[in-house]
Amino acid sequence: NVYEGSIKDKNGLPIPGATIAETGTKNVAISDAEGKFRISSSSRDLSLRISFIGYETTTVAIQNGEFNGSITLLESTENLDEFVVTALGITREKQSLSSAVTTIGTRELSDVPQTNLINALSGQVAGVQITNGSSGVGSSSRIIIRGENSISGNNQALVVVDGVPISNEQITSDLFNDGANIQEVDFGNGAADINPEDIESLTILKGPGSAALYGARAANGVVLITTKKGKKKPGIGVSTSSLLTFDGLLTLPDYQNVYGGGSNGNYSFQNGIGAGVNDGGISSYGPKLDQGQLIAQFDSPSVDINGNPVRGGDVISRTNPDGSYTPITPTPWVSRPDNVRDFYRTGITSQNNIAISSGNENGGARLSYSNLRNEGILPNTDLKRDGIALSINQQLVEKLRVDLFSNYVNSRSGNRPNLGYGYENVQYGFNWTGRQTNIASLRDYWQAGQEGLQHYDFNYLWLTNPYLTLFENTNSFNKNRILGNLALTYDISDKLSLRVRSGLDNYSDLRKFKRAFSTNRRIYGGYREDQVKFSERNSDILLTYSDALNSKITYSVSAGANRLDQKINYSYTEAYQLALPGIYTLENSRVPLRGSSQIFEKRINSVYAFGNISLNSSLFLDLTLRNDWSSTLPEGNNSFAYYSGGLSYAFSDDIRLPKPISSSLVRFNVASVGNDTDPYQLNNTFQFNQNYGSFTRVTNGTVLNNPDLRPERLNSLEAGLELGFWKDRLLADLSVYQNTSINQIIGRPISTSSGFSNIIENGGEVRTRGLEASLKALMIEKRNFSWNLGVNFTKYISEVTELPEGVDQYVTGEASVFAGSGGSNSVFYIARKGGRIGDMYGSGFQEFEGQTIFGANGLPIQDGKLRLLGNYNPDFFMGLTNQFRYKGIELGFVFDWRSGGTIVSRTKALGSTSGVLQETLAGRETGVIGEGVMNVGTAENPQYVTNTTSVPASTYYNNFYDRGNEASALYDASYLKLRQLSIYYDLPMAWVSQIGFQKVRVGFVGSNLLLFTENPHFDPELNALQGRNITYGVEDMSYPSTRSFGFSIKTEF
Amino acid sequence: FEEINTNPNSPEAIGPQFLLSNVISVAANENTYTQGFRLANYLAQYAASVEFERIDRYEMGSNAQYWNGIYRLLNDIESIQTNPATNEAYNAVADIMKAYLFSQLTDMWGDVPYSEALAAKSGVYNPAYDTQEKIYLDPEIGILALLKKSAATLNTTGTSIQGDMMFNNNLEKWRRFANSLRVRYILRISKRMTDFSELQALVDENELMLSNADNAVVPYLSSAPNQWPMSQSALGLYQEHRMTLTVDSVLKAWDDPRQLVLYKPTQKSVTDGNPEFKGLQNGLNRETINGRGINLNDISLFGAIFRDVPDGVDGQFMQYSELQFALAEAVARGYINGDAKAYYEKGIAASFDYYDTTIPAGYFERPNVALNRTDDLTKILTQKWLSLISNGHEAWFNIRRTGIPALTPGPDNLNDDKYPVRYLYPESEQAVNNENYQAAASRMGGDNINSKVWWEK
Repeated sequence: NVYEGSIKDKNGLPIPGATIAETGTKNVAISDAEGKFRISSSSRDLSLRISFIGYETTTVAIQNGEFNGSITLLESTENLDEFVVTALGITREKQSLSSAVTTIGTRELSDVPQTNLINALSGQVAGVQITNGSSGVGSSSRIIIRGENSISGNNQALVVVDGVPISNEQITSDLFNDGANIQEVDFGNGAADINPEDIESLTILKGPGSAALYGARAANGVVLITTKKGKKKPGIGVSTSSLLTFDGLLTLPDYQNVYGGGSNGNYSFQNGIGAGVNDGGISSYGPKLDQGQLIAQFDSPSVDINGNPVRGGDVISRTNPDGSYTPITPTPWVSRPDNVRDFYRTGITSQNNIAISSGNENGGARLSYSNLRNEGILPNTDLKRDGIALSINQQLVEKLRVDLFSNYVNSRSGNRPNLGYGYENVQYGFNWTGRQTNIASLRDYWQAGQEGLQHYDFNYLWLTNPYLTLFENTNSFNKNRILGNLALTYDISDKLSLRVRSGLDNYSDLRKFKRAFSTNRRIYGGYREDQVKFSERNSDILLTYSDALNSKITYSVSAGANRLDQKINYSYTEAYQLALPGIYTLENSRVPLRGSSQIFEKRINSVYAFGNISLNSSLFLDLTLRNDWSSTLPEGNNSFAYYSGGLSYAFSDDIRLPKPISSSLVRFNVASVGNDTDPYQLNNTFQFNQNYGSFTRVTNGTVLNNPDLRPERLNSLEAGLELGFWKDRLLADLSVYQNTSINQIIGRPISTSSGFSNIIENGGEVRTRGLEASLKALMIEKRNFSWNLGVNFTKYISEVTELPEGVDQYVTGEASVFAGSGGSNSVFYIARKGGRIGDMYGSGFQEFEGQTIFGANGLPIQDGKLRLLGNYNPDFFMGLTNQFRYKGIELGFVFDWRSGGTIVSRTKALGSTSGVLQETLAGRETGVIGEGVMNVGTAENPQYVTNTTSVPASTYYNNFYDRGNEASALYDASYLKLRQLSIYYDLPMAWVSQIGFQKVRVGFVGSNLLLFTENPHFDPELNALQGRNITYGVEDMSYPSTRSFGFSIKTEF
Repeated sequence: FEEINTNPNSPEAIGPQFLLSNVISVAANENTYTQGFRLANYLAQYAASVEFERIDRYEMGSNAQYWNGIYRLLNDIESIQTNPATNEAYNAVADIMKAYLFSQLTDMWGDVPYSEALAAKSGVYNPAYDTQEKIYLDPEIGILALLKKSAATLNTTGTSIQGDMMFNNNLEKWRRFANSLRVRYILRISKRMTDFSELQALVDENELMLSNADNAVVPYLSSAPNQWPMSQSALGLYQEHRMTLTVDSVLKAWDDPRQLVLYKPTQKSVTDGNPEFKGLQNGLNRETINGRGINLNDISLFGAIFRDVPDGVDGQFMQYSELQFALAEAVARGYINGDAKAYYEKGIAASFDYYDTTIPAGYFERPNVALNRTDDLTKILTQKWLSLISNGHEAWFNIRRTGIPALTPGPDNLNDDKYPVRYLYPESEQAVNNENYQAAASRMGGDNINSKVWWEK
C-alpha cells in the first residue's frame, strides 16, 4: 500500500523536509520541495507521525487504507523545546539534558522587537534577571542567571553565537565624575549589536553543568544564539520586517508646582550669579507661584546697553561699563508643571530588516541587512545601527560540510547622554531648576552677541544650559564590528566526524567628546578622543564518534581542543582646553595634550572530552571533562580542570503514572568548574600620573597584586523535574540548585593605612541556593481560538558562607553618593559571614529605641556609624506570558513582577534638598517638626521625649535629606510591569497572494506600557553607572524610563 | 604565557626620582587646594559659605579622600626607600615627607595607624592605631626623631637627589625645611612638653629657613593639568568662598594692604564706584542669609590670585613667616631666649613680601600691631593665623592649640555651638579595620568631631 500526500502550513504553503513515519515500524519518508511525500506500508490501518522543527507534531490515522492526503502542520514554539542547541553547537534532544535549559523562539524574540537583544529576555525565563541602563535606547543591559556567584566579579552570562563566544563586555571610557571631568557615558553592551531578526532561537543554559564546555566564562550561564540559516525551499525566499515605535516617558520625578526658585520666599533675577535676589541659588524655596506676582526672570524682556531688546539672561550685553545692569521687565511668576516633561521629546525608533534565503538538498544560504534608527527622548541624542549578516551552510562534497556565519555591524551615535551626578546629566540639572522655569526658552542657548562663546542660562554658577549640554557638548561614537565563525565538518565515516572551527569577534570604537566654551567647569571647552579596540579569536577542533551498542543503547563520545586569544586596546587623548572656540580637534589645544594608552591580553588553551549514553531513549547519562591553561595565573597554578556528570530519566516510559501525566523527566547534574582571572593580577607595577610640568610622576597602584593566585572553583548541584499533563497541554518544569563558589579571586578591600586599598587574593565562599519553576499551559485550543499561558518564578539567596582567614566582614564594593570635600558618603556593599550578597550599608541618624534623635535646633543628629540599609537583590521575581489566537489575530503580553530589594536614591535625596519634589511641600508655611525624639536630659543622663521643635521646611529638608544620610533616601525596589504587548494579524492568503506575497503580518506592539511601584520618581529597574562599573541598588540621577508602542509589518515573498 | 601576562602598560621597577616628584607635588596640591582652600579655610574662618559648603556649619565628615591619599603617598615613600637605586639623600628627603604626612594624619584624626602601617606587602592588612604621643615622640620612629635624623644625614651625605620641583634638588634647603618642621611640631605638642632645650638648640644652630627663598612651596603652573584647580572650577564653587567677618575685622583693624591681594572689593561697591571690602559671618545657612537681607553681591570674594590666573598661588607646606611667628611665640611663652619682636616683625615682613605687598610706613607701630607685652601672644598668633591662609589645616591646628584668634561658631552650626577639633575616621575603617578602629575610637573618647587629641588636651 502506497500513501501519497502533501504537507502544508496553515496558510497552505508547502512544508518541505518534514518527516513522515509510520508508528511502530521503520517506514519513513521525507516531504519534498512541494511538500509532497510517498510512503509505503504493509498495513491498511496505521498511523503516521508527521514532525518538523518549528511545527507541532501531528499524528494522522489511516483506517481501511483511506487517506485524503492533505496534512496541515501548525506552527509551534513548543516544539523547539524538543531539540535544543547545546554546548559547542550540538543539537540534542531536550530530554537528554540533565541541566535546566530554556529556549526562546523567533516569536518571543521578534514579536516585540527590542533594540537590545538582551531585553527580549525580560520576564520570559525563570532564573534570568535583566537590568537596563538608564540612558534610553542604546543603554547597556545586564543579564544575570541564577544570581551572583562571585563576590566581586562581573557575574554576567556568556553570549555565544553558533557555538563561538562573542564579547558582551561593556568597555567603558575612563571617565570619573570627580566634579571636574567628563561624566560617565553608557556606550552599550556587546550583545546589543546582534540583530534579533537574524536569530533562529536563543537558548539559556542556566547551570554551570551545561556550560562546562565553554570554559570559565560560562560559569555564570550561557546565552546561546543560533542564527537563521537558509532553508531548503524552492526558489529564493525574501522576508522583510519593519517596525516603527514611539517612545514616551514612563516615569518622571513627581515635582511640586506651588513654589518657585529662590530662598525664604524671595527671588529676582539680575545676573544669575547673585546680583539679584537669590539668583545665585538654585533651590526651590522661593515665592509662591500663580499668585499674580510679576518677577524679573532670566527670560523676561530687557534691553542691551544700546537699547536693543534682549533677554534678562543675556547678561553680557546688559552689563554697563560701570558694572551695573540694564533693567529687566518683570514677567508673571507662574507654575510650569510640564516644563521638564516637555523638554523630552517623543523618541522614534525604526527597525527594518530584509533577508534573502535560498536552499536545496546540499544546504542553504541567507543574507540579511538590518538597520536601526533611533532618535532618543533627549533632544539631539540618537543611535544608528546597520548590520549585514551572511550565513552559508553547504555540503561541499560528500562528507565535507561548511558552515559560515559572518556579521558586520556598524553602530554609531552623534550623541549619547552623560550619566551620573552633575550638570552634564540634564536630569540632575532639573533637580536644581526652579519650578517656574520655562525650560523651552533656553532653547536659543547662546547669549546675545556671544554665539559660540557664552551660553545663556538662568544660573551661571553651577549649571549649564541643558540644550547647550545636549547640542554642543556631545559624546559620539562610531563602532565597527565584525564577528563570525567558519566551521568545516568532515564525516570520516558514518560514525566518526571531525569538525574544525574558528570564530572571531573584532571591533573598533572611536568616541569623541566635545565641550563648548563657557561650559561650567570647562570655560575653555575641551575635546577628547577615546579609542577602544577589541579582538577575540576562538579556534577549536572536535572529533565525535557515535554508535549504537544494540537496539537499546546508543552512545557518543567527543574530544576536542580550543584556543582563546583576547586582546583589548584602550586609549584616549584629550585637549583639556581649546585654543579657539567651536573647533574640535586635538591640534586646537590651549594646553599640552594628555592621555593614556593601555593593552590587555590573555590566552586560554583548553582540551576537553565528553560522552553520553542513551538507554531505551529514556535514560541518559552525560559526562564531561575539560582542562584549561590560562595565561592570567601563575606558572604552576595555571591549569584547572572541569568535571560534570548528569543523569536524566524519562520515567513515564517505565513506570505507570496516573493518567493525566503524559510525560515526565527527572534530571540530576553535578558540576565543578574552574576559573581564571583578569590579566596582570600577579605582579605589582607602578602607574603613571600626569606630568607636573616636565617632571614625570609615577605612583603605586592602590591594589596589591598576588603572585600566588590559584584558580577559582564553582561547584554546582542541580535537580529538576518536568511533568506533562493531559497530552502535554500543561507542562511544568521545576529546578532546584545550589552553587558554591570557593577560592574566589577577589580584590578584597583592606585598610588603606596598609599602603594599599585592596589585595588580590583567593578566599571567600559564596553559596547560592535557588528555585525556578515554570508552567506552560495550552489553556484553550479550539479551531479558531487558542490561549497559551506561561508563568515563571525565580527565587534565590546568595550567602557568604566563608570569608578569608582572619576577616570578619568584607567590603565587596562601594557606590559614592556625592558630597562636598570632607564628606564621605558612600554606600558600602558588605559581605558578612552568613550575610547576603548585596547587603548595603550606609550612614543615617542617631537613634533611640528606633526613633530618630533630634538636636535642640530641631534637626536630626547625624551618625557616622554604618548600618544595614537593605539588600539590592529581589526576594523573588515572576514573569507571566500570554498568547491568544483568534482566527488570524494573535494577542500576546508579558508581565514582569519583581518583589523586594532596596534602592538608595540620589534623585530623592537631591530633589528633596533642593525642594523640587512634591513631598517638600509639607510644612512650607508652618515649619516642620521632625518625627522622633529629643534629649531634654544631659549628655550623660539622656531623657528622651517627643521632638517638638519646629524648623523652616527648607532647613529641615536640607538636613534630613543631606546627601550623607543614605538611610533617608531608601525605596522598595518592587515593581510590576506590563513589559510587552503585541497584537498581530495575518492577512488572509487570498489577499496576500494577489499582490504576490506569501505572507503578510501586521501588528501593534508595545513595551513597558505600565509600571506599578511605590516610588513616584523613577523606574526602580534602572541601574547606575559609576566610574567604570554598573552599580547596583543605587539610583544616580537616572533619566526617565520610556514607554514604547508602535507598528510592525512582516512579509514573506 | 608569562610574556602574555606581563603588563605592558606600566613598569615593575622605577627610579626613585619619579616617585619623589609624585609625592611632593601631590602632597602640595592636596594640602593647599583640597584641604586648605576647600576645607580648612572655613574652619579657620578665612572663608564663609553661602549655601553648600556644610563644613562651614561644622558638618565635617571624615575627609576619607585625604586619609587614603596620604597613605598612598606614604606607600610611594616606602617604594623610594626600598628602591635599589635609593641613597642617603633620597632616604632623608623621603623621611622628611613621611614625617610631614604622618603629622597631617595625627593632627587631623588623632591616633592613627603608624608603626604597623604600610606593611600590606608583609601581610599586615589591618594595622593597629598608635597613640599620638608615640607618633610624635617615639625615640626611634617618631616624627621628631625622623626629622632630626634626616637633617643630620643631609648635613653629611655626599649623595644627591633628582625629581624635586620644590627645592630643585638643593639638599641644604631640605635640611632647613626639616629643622623648621621640628620647630612647628615642638610647638604643636608644647602643652605636653616641659623641656624645650631641643628648640633652643635649633635656634642656636641656625639651620632653619633663612628667608622666603627657603619656603617649602611648589608653584602651580600656567598650563593644565598643573593649574591651581580653583581657576578652572565651576563659578559657583568659587563664589562659595566669601571673605568672612572675622578676617574682615582683623584686616580693617590693621588697615592691612594684604587685603587687596587676598580678597576682592564687593561687586556692588565697585559698581557703585566706591570699592570696599565686606565679610560674611561664618556658619549661616541660605535662609538666614536671606532672612537677614544680606546682599551677596555686596560680600567680598577671594582675590584674583585665587581665581583669575591659573598660577597665582603656590602649593604650600611651610613658609619662612610661619617659622618666625613660631619663634616669636616660643620667646613670648619663655620656651626659648631671644627677641620676640624681631621674630614677629620678620614674620610680618615675610608675609607681606610673599604676597608682593609693601608694608605701609609705620605699620609696626600701629597699636593693633605693635607688641606691648600685654597681649603679645594674641598679636603674634593672629598675624601668624593670617599668614597661614590656604596652608592646609595648619591655621586650624594653631587655633585648636592656642585658642587664638578666638573664633565663634556660626549661628546655624550643626555642632551644638562647639568648635570642632578633629575629623571622623573614614567609614571604610569601620568596614575593613573595625577592631582597631573601635579600640582607637574608645581610647580617644569616641569617634566624633569634639574629641580632643593628645596635644590639645
